Order: sequence, then structure tokens, then C-alpha cells
Amino acid sequence: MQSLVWTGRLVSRVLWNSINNFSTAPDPVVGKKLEPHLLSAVSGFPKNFTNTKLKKGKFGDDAWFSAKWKTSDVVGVADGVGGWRDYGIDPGEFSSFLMKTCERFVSCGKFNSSDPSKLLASSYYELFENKQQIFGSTTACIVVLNRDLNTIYTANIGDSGFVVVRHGKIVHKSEEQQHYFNTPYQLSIPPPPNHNNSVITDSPESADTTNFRVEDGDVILLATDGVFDNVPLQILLNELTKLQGERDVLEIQKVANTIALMARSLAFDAKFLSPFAKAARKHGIGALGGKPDDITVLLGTVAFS
Amino acid sequence: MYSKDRKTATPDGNASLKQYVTDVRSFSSQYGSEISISYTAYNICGKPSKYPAYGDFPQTFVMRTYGKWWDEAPSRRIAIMPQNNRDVKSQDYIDISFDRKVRPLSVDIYETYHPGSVVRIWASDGFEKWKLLWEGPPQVRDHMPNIFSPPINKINFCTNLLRLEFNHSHLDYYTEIDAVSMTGTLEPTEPVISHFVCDASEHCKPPECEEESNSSEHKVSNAQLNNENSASSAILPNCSKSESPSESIDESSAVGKNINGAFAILPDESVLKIFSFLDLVSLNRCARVNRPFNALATDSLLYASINLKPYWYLISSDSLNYLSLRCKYLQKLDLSWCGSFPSDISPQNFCKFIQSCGKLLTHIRLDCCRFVCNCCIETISRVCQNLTELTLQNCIELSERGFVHLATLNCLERLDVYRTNIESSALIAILKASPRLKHINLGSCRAISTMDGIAEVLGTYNKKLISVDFWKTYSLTPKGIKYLSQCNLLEEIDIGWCLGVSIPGDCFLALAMGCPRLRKLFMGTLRGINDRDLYPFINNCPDLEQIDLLGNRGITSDVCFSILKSCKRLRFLDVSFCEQVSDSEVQEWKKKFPHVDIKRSFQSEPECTCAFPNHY
Repeated sequence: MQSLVWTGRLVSRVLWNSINNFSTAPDPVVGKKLEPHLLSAVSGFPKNFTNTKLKKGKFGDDAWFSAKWKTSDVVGVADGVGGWRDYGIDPGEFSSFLMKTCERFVSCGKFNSSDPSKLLASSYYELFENKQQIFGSTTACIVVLNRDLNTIYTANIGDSGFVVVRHGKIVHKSEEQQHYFNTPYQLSIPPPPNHNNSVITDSPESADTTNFRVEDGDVILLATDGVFDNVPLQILLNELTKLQGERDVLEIQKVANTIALMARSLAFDAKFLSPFAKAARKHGIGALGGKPDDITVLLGTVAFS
Repeated sequence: MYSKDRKTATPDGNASLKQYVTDVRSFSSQYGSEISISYTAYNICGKPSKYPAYGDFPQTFVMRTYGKWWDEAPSRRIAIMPQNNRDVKSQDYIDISFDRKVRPLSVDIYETYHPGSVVRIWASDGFEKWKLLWEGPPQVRDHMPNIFSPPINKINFCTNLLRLEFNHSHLDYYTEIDAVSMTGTLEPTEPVISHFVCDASEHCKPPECEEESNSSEHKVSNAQLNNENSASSAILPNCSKSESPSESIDESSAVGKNINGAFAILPDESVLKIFSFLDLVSLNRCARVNRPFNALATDSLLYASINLKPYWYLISSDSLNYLSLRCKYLQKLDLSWCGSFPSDISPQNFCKFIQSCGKLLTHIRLDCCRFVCNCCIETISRVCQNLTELTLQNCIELSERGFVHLATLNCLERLDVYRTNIESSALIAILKASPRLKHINLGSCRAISTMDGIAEVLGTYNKKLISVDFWKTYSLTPKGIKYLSQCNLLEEIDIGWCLGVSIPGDCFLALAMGCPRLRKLFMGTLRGINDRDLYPFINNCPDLEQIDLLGNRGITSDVCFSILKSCKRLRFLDVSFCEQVSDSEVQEWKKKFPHVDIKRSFQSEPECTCAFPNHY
């Protein structure tokens, strides 16, 4: 009975995500020049169902956004650092505000479509402009598809990341930024006073930026560490390859759901040698099993039209 | 993304279009800073982002002031020719533009916090003409999200540019506007059947067409229209010149005296005294009564203080030329908001006006005047050697090259450069040249690189300083505050959002010791301050009337209670977003200290807690 309820919940989550997703589908406008568009879908699970409020753009402490303006499609994910919960601070608020602010910047056109790190920085500084100061830290990854230049520009800070797959091969991927094991680079605003500097604060300028020319049919996966720490890259690759050239948003949604569900079940599999456990072993920590975490999957294909 | 236009058909078959704002042309003030998108004017663009939520959200357009608090502060300005002001004075405005020109049928204003401040809506044809769509008193409303859509007048042109005017003097807290939509028809429906509105009591027939109507609201607008026309004839030369009094009045001066009736037995000085209470429109009407009245009503003594701000939509270069004939003794001039289009007033014309009438000027107000350029400042600095007050809010055209000229003035008592691009070097030169400076507003001046340097000059050269406004200037640090503490006469300081002062050290102790006369202390969101930083003010500044502590997480209810108990003159205390102060304590204090207006703002999101939420 319990499992039935759980399954029902999972299905409803997935359904709800799909409903949300309609807003991210681009307008079917056909220009004269063939321009790339990002057809995207999102899926994910919060680590803990019982004490999270369900809100659009959030999976637990993870947050995501998808927006577009003129010749750019922009997607992003952020993973709020959970440690703040011990200090009475909701870690999800920081990441969610950051992503919402990015979305606002994009949808009012106040961003440079070839400089996503600037977008990340402006949104970070915007956190100080709120009457109600929000504290916390987050990792973040933003991908901008610049339609004029057929190029994606990315900015990544921390251990969220992206993978670009073309014809079954990973052609481009983000580098993980870590201070030390399981401690990614992060944007943070600690509550004052911060005299002892014990809080890790990386400036938004330290984001890792790349650019990469995309082709028709490329598959882009943007996800938080809840996915990359639990699903081996080869399995991800197998799933993503199925989407090569896919233009049906529903198919993309299906794969996104599959990846999210896979990550979710592997995360709670205590006997699975997850990528996270492998990395831990490299650092001399004898760990086994997945890493229960919030999971966010943003999946898109590049379609020229 | 913006203005997803929605076309529907009106009952008469024409396509009507609902549009949201695409751009903000100009505005008079905003809460947010220049480098941010929180609480800024631009948030009025696009679809509502927060409605139907109600609360204090950064995603909306918020103005800088509300209520009476700024008019009771030491820095308040003395009104020039207040009789010109309408019953409902406009305090702020915003010009918003839409994608396509339409004939407006309705204007919807999404108010998400403290609604009821809109008092006028204007529409422009985009060149020079402004027409009033709606006018009404500020409204007292419940604390609920509100879509304000007043009945609007029909206009005979298509528009994509609106101006909203606000009066928020009756509000408890900041008003917040989320979005504005305008619905209108694309094509002219049919030629508007026009009726002349003839009112026996009025001297002049309105030459404009206005649809006849019976509702009282429209009567107001007709009176308004007449008023406008009279005003335009007062200020525009063409109308008045054609109605020269000599055409209708007998040449003999004796007869003229008779015509003047009972006024003839009054000395001219008495009549002038009576006239001095009239607004510009009435003065002009008097000038058209007969020859003696004309002589008196155009006497230069009546035109020593001129306030053209209430007539901003009528003022052109011609009006200035015409007024210059009467302004021999002009001392105070308020041209704020005038010249909303480049064609209205040219910088050259303004300079000519200043050259011919500006020798005695002591006060010039040019807030939001878009024609003001560097050459205007150069002319003012050269001609108006006695200038004591200059306000240049939102004059964004001005650059360093213009501002340096102001250093030749040395009587300045008030300088207001809110939201301008003034830079450090020019400002320092001006401050050094103006030992009498009493009030300075440097709010949102983003081009000033070192506010500490400015504070040092203020503390050294401007010892008579009474009020200083550093709102949202990020380069001010505790070092600058210490310099300011040398201005011992200081009564008002606004360092709200000066994030550089977040960890204040002992600078507030120095400020409190150095400035015992402080009456207004605004220190919102200095994030790092705590109780220890506030006690010096309680002990040293007994005259404190207004204190803003918004967003200071570090302060506790202990210090707030001490403030309430010790500062006997306190009238205003803002403890919004002070998380260590609980709502219940605020409620208790409100009962205990009824003479103090304690502010407590809030953000509330409609939360979805059920499994299948209705998402907006």
C-alpha cells in the first residue's frame, strides 16, 4: 500500500513537471535563416518529499529556470547548500531567488547573451538589493544558446554541470569546481557577522566559462550533482543518445523523467557503486551506495528551424 | 516576451488590443538603485509578475517616498507659488510606453501594495500634446491587491505613451505597482461627434471638442479642459496676444477707471496684494478684464516667484519667451517636469530666458527637465550669481563638463542632484566653493567613485550642513561617516542602503556625539549593524523624530524599546524586515506608544502546500 502511494506521488510529480514544461516550449516561429532553438524539458525530485513545499522552479534545495529573450534561450540550475539548515536558514531560498533573478534579467533583456557569468554575477549582487536579506550558498550553472552565433555560452560555479552529446559522443562538458572533496565552489552570502571567515565564498567572477558551437540535433543535459553523483556517465550517455535530433518535446520529457527517476532510485540504492562512492574511495573514504540528494534534470535538444 | 498582445473584438466590431508596458521613458523617483532591478521603475514593464499577491516585493515599481514624513523632515522644500498647485498635487510620475498606438478604452493599473495613489493619467500623441484621461483624488483602499481601472475620457488621437501621476501623501507605506495594461482600438472607430461645451460662467469657450455627457465625472473633466485652455492662453503667447485688452476697452483712461468699479478706490498696492494670491491662470484672466487690470495683473512684482510645474504639459519655449516680458524681478523659478519632449523647450531658449530674467534668481528647480544640458548649467552659473537653491533631480543629460561650472557659485544652500551623473571632482569643487551649503541630496549618484572623499569635504568645508542624503551610494564607508560627524549642525542623515557601512565599527558613536541635533536618521539595510551601534543615538540625540531601521537583521527589540522609551519626540520608526523584532512586540508597542508611527512591512507569497497546486 505504502509503495502504491509513493508510486502515485512520483507519477503526479512527473505529471506536474510536464505541465510546467509547456511554458518552456518555444514559439513555432520560422525565420528565413535557420536558427537553433532549444527544445527543453525539466524533471526532478526533492530529496525529501515530506517537508518540502512544492513550488514552480524548485526541487527541494535545487532550483532551475528557463527563459528566452530575442535571440537567446537561457536555462540554468542551482543547488542550494544544505548545510545552512542547521543555522535556521532555508537553503532552497537562496538558490531559488538566484534562479528567479536570472529569469527576470533574461526576460527583460538586461543581459549579455555571450556572457552568462555576468548574468550570474548580476543576479548574485541583486540578492543584496532585497529588503529581506536572503542568506545561504549555492552552486549554479547557466547555459545560453545564442541563436545568432549558433553557439552555447556557459558559466558554471560548483558541481552542477552540463553535458553536450552529439551522435552518441560527449562533445563538450563542464568541469567540476571543488575546493576539496564534496565541497564545491559556491556563491554565498553568510549572515553577518562573518568575522572568522569560516564560510566558503567564491566570487561570481570565479565561474568557469566556456563556449561551444552547436549543431542541429545536439542534446544538452543540464543537471545538479544529484544526477551526476548517482548516474554513471555511460548510462546518461545511452539515454541522451536516444534523443539525437528529437523535436518532440514529449519525447524529451520522457527521457528527462527517466533520468530523474533513475537518479532517484540509484541515490537510495545502498549497494550501488555510484560515481559519488567512487570519488569518495579515491579520497580514501570507503563509501558505498548512492548519494541521496535533490535531483534536477533540464534536458534540451538543439533544433534548427 | 513582453506585451503578449491580446486581440479581442469590441461590441462595435473593432479589434481591441490589450498591451502591457514595453518601456519606461522617464520617471521622477524610484526606490531601487541604478545598478539593480529590484524596486525599480522598469519593473512596471511586462505582465504582472506578482499580482494577485500582496506585499512588499522587489519585482515591482516602488517610488522613493510616501506619507507626510519627507515633508516634515528638515530637508523639506518650501513651496514656490503654491496657489498654482491643483487640489490634488502630483508628487511623482512615470512615463510608460507601449508597443502599438491605440485609442485607449481602458487603463488597468495592477497595484500590489498600498493601492490608491494614482491621481492622474495622461496620454500623449508622442510629439507635444498631452491629454488628460482621468483625474481624481487619491483613494483610501483596503490592504488588498487591486486592479485600478478608472473610467477614462475619450481622446481624438492614438497613443502609445501614458503618464501616471501619483500622490502618496495619505499612504501608510510605499505603494507598489506591478504592471499597467492599456486596452484600446487600433483604428479610429468613427469621427467623434463633437459638442462645444458652453458654460455661461466661463469667459472663454473651449476651442477643443469634447463629448457631451451628463455624469459628474465628465463635468469635472470639462472644467478641467476649460482650465487647461485658460492656462494655455496665460502661458502661450498666441492666445493672449490676440486678445489684447485694447480691442475691447475704450481708449480713455477715465472710462477705464470707471470700468474698474470698486477696485478703482483701492490703491494699486492693495490690488497687487490681492492679485498675489492668485494662480497663474487667474492672473491671466484678470489681465484680460480691462486695461487697468491688465496693467496690474502683468506687473513684474507678481512674477517674482513662478511655479510652472503644475502646468508642465503646456510649457513650451514660447511660454518662456512670453513670460520673460513679465519676469523682471524673477527670484524663484520652478520648472520641474516641464519640457517632456525635446520640441517643447530647447536648451537655447532656456538659456535665453535665464539670461534675460535670471540676474536675481535665488531658487531654480529643474527636476526631471530633460532639456537641461551642460550649456544650461553654464548659463545658470554665469548669470545667477545669487543662486541659493538648485535642484536637478533626474537630469541625466548633464555631465562633468556642465557640473564644474557650478563651482563658480558661492551662495548655494541647497543642491539636489538625485539620480544624476555628477562625478567626484566637480562635486568637490562645488562643495568647496559653497560654505553656506545646508542641504545636499546625492541619492543614487552612481558616478561618484569615492563617497568618503565627498564626506571628507563636507565635514571640512560645509560646517553649516543640515541635511545630507546618501541613499543607495555604495562607496560610502564608516570612514566617511566619521568625517560627516564634523558637521555639528546636522539634523538629517539618510544612509539607507549604503552597503559599504555594513560593518560600522565605531563610526555611529562618532556621528551621534558630533551631531546632537539629529532629527531624522535613515539607516535601512546596513545589514551588519547591531544594538551597540544604536545606543549612542539614544544617549546623545534627544531630538530624534524619524528613524528607519529597515532590513537590519542584527538589531533586537531591546534597542527598539529603548528608542521608543527615550526619544520623546519620536514620531516614526520603521522596523520592517528586522527579523529579531517580532510582530507581536510591534503590536504591543503600537498600543503603548500611540504617538509613534511604527512601520512593519511584509512579503507574503501565496504558498502551494497541496499535492496538486494551482500554479500561477
